[in-house]
Amino acid sequence: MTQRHEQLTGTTVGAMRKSLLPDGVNISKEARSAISRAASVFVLYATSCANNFAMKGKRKTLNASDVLSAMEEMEFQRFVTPLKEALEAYRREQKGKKEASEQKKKDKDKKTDSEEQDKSRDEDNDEDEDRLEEEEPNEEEEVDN
Amino acid sequence: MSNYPLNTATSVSQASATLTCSKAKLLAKVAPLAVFPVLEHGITILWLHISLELFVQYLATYSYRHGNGKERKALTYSDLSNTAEESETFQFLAALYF
Repeated sequence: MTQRHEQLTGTTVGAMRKSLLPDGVNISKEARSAISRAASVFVLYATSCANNFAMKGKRKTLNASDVLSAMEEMEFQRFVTPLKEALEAYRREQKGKKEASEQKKKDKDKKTDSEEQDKSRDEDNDEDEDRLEEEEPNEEEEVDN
Repeated sequence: MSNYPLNTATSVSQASATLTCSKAKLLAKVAPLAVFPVLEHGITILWLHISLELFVQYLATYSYRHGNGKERKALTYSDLSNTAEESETFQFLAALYF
């Protein structure tokens, strides 16, 4: 269980020590463990809060507004703005990926269509050539006669 | 409320980079996701990850600034337990530390 808590926060604590706490500040082993356990409690509390909002709206699916409402309920209003920005960025990213994938599909379909057209044109040409070859011997016969 | 610097530059791509598959699975185990099995386009796990990072940053910086550890240039267990006891925002952690 301890390992699981620490896995949740290991990277964050290390990065934070460099960027947010003053230079040279150490985080004791007990403090790291305490932060990790706090993180687990936070996750349980936050998801439970968000779920309450979803249930109030008679939904089984959590959505972004449930999340933001939970943060306000838990008195973490300071998290609302960065979360909103992150959610907007996520949606833009997903939209971009979707458009890129649709464009790729269109290009692929276009390529397949033009290949098929080339193929049928080649087949028509082959048929014409065959027809010409069949007609020639008759002309020769006429000349001979 | 005082201003505590939060790493608000946590962009989606940065958060996604640190949100590895194993961490996402771990979050899913810790959070009662059985209660709400359907995720809205994977936003929920990403949200949990980002809000968790923000929470850890806030808890640590608040505890350091309000605690006694800064005299020794260290964030200690007692700094965190003082925070849980004295701050209304972090009161939900009180049972964890006492």
